[in-house]
Amino acid sequence: MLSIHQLKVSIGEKEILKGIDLDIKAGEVHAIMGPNGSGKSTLAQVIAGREEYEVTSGTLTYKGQDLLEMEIDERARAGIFLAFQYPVEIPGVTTAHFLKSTINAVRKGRGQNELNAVELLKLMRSKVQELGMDEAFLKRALNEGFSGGEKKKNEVLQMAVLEPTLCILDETDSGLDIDALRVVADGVNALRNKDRAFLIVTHYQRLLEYIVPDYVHVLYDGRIVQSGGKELALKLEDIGYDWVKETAVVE
Amino acid sequence: MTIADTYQVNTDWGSLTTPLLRSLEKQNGVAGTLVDHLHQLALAQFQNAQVPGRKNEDWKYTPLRELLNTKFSESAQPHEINPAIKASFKELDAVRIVIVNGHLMPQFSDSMPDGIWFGMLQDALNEKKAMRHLEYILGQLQLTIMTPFEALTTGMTSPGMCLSIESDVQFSRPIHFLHINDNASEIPTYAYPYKIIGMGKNANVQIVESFISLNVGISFTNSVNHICVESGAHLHHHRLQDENTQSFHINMTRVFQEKDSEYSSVAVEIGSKLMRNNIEVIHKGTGITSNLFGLFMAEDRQHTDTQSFIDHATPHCESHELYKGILDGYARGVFNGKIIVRPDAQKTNAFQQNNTLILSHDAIMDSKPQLEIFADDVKCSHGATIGQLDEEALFYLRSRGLSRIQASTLLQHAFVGEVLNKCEHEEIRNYLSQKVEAKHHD
Repeated sequence: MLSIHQLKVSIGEKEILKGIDLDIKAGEVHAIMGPNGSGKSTLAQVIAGREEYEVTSGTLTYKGQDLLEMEIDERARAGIFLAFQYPVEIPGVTTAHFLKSTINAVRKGRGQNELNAVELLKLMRSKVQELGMDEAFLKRALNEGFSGGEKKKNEVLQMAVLEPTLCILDETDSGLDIDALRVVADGVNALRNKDRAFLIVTHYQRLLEYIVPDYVHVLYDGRIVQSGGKELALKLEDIGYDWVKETAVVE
Repeated sequence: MTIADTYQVNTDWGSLTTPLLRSLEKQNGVAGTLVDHLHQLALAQFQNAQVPGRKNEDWKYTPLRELLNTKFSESAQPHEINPAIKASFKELDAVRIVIVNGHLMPQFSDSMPDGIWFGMLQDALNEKKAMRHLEYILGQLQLTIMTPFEALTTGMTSPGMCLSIESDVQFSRPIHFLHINDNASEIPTYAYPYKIIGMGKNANVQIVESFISLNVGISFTNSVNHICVESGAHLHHHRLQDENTQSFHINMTRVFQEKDSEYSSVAVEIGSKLMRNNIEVIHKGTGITSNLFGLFMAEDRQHTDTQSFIDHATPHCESHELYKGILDGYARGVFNGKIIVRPDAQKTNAFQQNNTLILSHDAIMDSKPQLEIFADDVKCSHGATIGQLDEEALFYLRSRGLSRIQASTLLQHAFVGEVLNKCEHEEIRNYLSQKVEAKHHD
C-alpha cells in the first residue's frame, strides 16, 4: 500500500531523513519508535504532505500513485489520514460543521455521492456513540479549549468518519492519561481491518500495549536502524534508546 | 438677502457641494423652525471648510483626490421601482423604508407600527414626540464640531428624515432602511441621506441600514445619522454597506447616549471602491453601555476605512469594540479607534480590539488605536493584530481533504463569524451572513 524508497528529506539546510526504506501492506500495523529528534514525526508529516519539508531524493508511493506529486488534500482524499500530535484549535468552526465539510470533500474526491444534512448527522452521531463520546462535542468549536484527551479522541473521531485506508498516528499517546489512552486505543483497534494499514509513531512503548503492532522499526538520526516484531518495542522499553545509539555508532 | 446670496464654499470641494448649493437656492424650509436652525448650524460649520488632505491626521491614509475629481450630478426622483429592488425585499422580513438615489420612496415603504413615527424632518415639526428628538439633536450639535462631510449632508434642506420611537416601545421586527443607488448611466450621481433617529426612554428596537447598488454606475453616498438614545433605551443598529465597487461611500453615525442606555452596532462593510465609516458615541450619563462591532472585507483596489470614537465623559460606563477585517488583492484598510476617558469618567471599562487578516502580498492595513485616559480608576485595554491565515490551521484542514480554497474560506468564515455572532437577532444575523458569504463567492 505504502512504499518508501531511499527517502531523503531536509528542512532548510538540515537533512532530517537520510534514506528511509519502508513497505506497508494493507491490514498491517507498523510502529516507528525512536528518540527525540530522530525524524519520526518528520516522516509522518512528509507522508501527509507538509510543504515545509523538502524531499531531496527517493520515492514515496501509495497504491501505485506518486505521493510526491499530490497536494496535501489530494492525499487525504486518496485515503491518507494523519492524526496530529498537536491538533490545531480553530475557534469559530464547530466540530460538526468541520466534519460535514471534510466528509463531503473526501466523498466527492473518492467519487462517492455527497451526504445530505440528515445523513451527515446520523453518521456523526453513530461514530460519536461508538467512541463513547458526548454528543455535545459536536457543537463545540473545533479543538478549542479541548483537553489533551478530548483533542486526541477528536482525531480518532475524524479518522472514523473519513474512513481512510492508511492511518498515521503521530505521538498520539503524548499528553494522555491512562483512561484516555485506552479510549483512543479502543477507537483505533475498532478501525483495524484487512484493508486498512496503520503507521504509529511513538516515543514510548506504552501505546503499543494497547495497539499491538505487527512490525516495529527503530528510527535514529534519520535512518531505520532496527526492524523487528512487537518484541522489539519491549526490548527498547527495557534497555532504552542508548542501546540503539551505540549500535548505530558501531555501524 | 438670503443666505444663498452670501454663502461661500471652498471650490476645492468640486461637485460635492452641488446638492448643498442647490438646496440653498430652493429655500423650501420655513425660516425660524428647528429644521431651519439645524441647517443654519451645519451651514455655518461647513462654510469655508477645507478639504481634508494628507496632512490631516484623520485622513492620512484615505486620499480623496479621485472622489473630488469625479463630477457628480443629481439623479431625479424615480417614479417606478426596479423589479430587482422588489426582489431584494424578500431577503429580510422587516418594516421597510426605501430610499432610491437619496429620495425617499413612500409608495414602496411600509407604514410604521404603533409608537413609532417616521417621516421627513419638515413633517416632524408637527409631531410633538418626534420634535422632541429633533430638539435634542439640535441642542447636542450646538456643542459639537461636525466633520465637513457630516456638516455637508446635515446642511441640506429637503431630504432629511426622522425616525422617532416613543418611550417603552419594544419592537423586535427590524426597521429596515434600504438605501439603493440605481444608476445605469455613465453620469456619476450623488445621494446625501440624512436621518435623525430618536429612541424614547426604555425603548428597544432593531434597525438595519443597507446600502446597495443595482447597477454598475458610479455613485457617491454621503450619509449621516444623528442618533439619541434616551435613558434605559437599547438601540440595536446594523449596517450593511454593499455598494458596487465603482462607488464612493462616506458615513457618519453620531450617537448621544443618556443614562443607563445601551447602543449596539454591528457594521458590515464589503462594498464600494472608497468606503469610510465614522462612528462617534458620546456618553451623557452614568451606567451607559456602547457595543461597537464591525467587519470589513476589501479586495482588488477597494479602500475601506473605519473610524470609531467613544467619548467616555461620565462615570460607570462601559464600551466594547471589536473590528475585524480581511484584505485581499491591492486593498487598503484603515482602522482608527479613538477612546477618550475624561477626568470625571471614573470606573470606566473600555475595551477595543482590531484584528485584520491579510491574504495577499499587496494589501495594506493601517491600524491605530488611540486611547487618551484622564481618569485614574478605569479599566481600559486595546489590541491590534495584522496577520495572515495560520499555516498550521491550513495544513490541518487540508490534511482532512479540504482544498486550499475551501480551507481558507472556512478559516475566513470563522474569523468574521466572531463579529457576526455579536448580532443577537437571528434573522438579521442570517441576512448579514448571507451577504458576507456572497462576497466570498463572487
